[in-house]
Amino acid sequence: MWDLDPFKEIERMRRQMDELFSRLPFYERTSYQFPLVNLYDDKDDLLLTAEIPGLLKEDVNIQYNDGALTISGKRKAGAYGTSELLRQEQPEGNFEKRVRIPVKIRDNEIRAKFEDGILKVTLPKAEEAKPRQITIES
Amino acid sequence: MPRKGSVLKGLLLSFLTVKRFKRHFSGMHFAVFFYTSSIDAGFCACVANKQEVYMNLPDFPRKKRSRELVPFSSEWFDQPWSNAVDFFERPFQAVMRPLREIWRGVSPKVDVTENEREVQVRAEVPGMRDKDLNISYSQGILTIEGEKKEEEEQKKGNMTVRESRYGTFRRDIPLGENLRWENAKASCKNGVLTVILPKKEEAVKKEARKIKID
Repeated sequence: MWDLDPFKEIERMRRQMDELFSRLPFYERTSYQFPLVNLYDDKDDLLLTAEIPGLLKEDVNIQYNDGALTISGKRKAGAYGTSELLRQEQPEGNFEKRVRIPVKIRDNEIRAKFEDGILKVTLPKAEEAKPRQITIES
Repeated sequence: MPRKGSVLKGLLLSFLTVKRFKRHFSGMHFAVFFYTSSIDAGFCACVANKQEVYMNLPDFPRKKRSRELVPFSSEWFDQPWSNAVDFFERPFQAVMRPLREIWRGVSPKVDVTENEREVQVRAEVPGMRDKDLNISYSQGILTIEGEKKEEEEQKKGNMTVRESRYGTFRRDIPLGENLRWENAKASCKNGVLTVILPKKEEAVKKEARKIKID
């Protein structure tokens, strides 16, 4: 029993809970992990914005798989050279964030743009997911 | 007296100070004491530390202190309160403002680094450009103000996931007086604001000197 790492266990449990909650349809919220994400639902497409300040285009990796978009990358450690850190609020190291996409999308037409530290991913909706106007017959 | 006491130490100290200087305190001061101790007993240690302010009533002398390069040592510890209103408001604001902004997710995260020549401040300001930011300084405190705006193309859709927030923010970063503030340089790139503040000459040559024993 004692060879379990309690912190690892707690972390694993938390992940499982997050995963569980993210499956619930009314619980669309993800955990507030880096990077912070907004998802906008427009008529024809979805727009996902993520705040990734200080990173370059090459350092960010985006994947769409199985109804979820994964943003991953590495925030550079030791970018400050020989300077001494007096205060650090920005964590460093690897990050990965999975955002569930609630509707079907055309996954070969996803476009991404990275500007001023904001990543914008446009996800066009599949035909069957688009809202349809229904006319009322008299 | 300790600068920042533990909770218990703070309570004990404030209690002892009140007891010792009872005749210098009015009812209001007691109220103030208990008000602060209810927020954080840590403040009490600092009230105890600042007893000279209350001893010299009613003119509240402002003692000037030389500030060393201690970023983010909280304001309450470094400056005596100038009046009773300040005394009430400052701890409250100091606690509430950051909380509010963290909750809103607007306030930028700040890293401060230092080498022998300069101090660098890096703030995460994703999506903001030069014109959205306002940087100023006064009395050794760097202030970053700005507005995080939501773009038009984002506004048209409904939001399904909402983590990043928009609005105005303000951050005060105490850095001390011994910097050449007038030579400060700032740049904004890839959503990171960098402010570089060169140190004053006398602060650079601060190495220890040996003293001979005769």
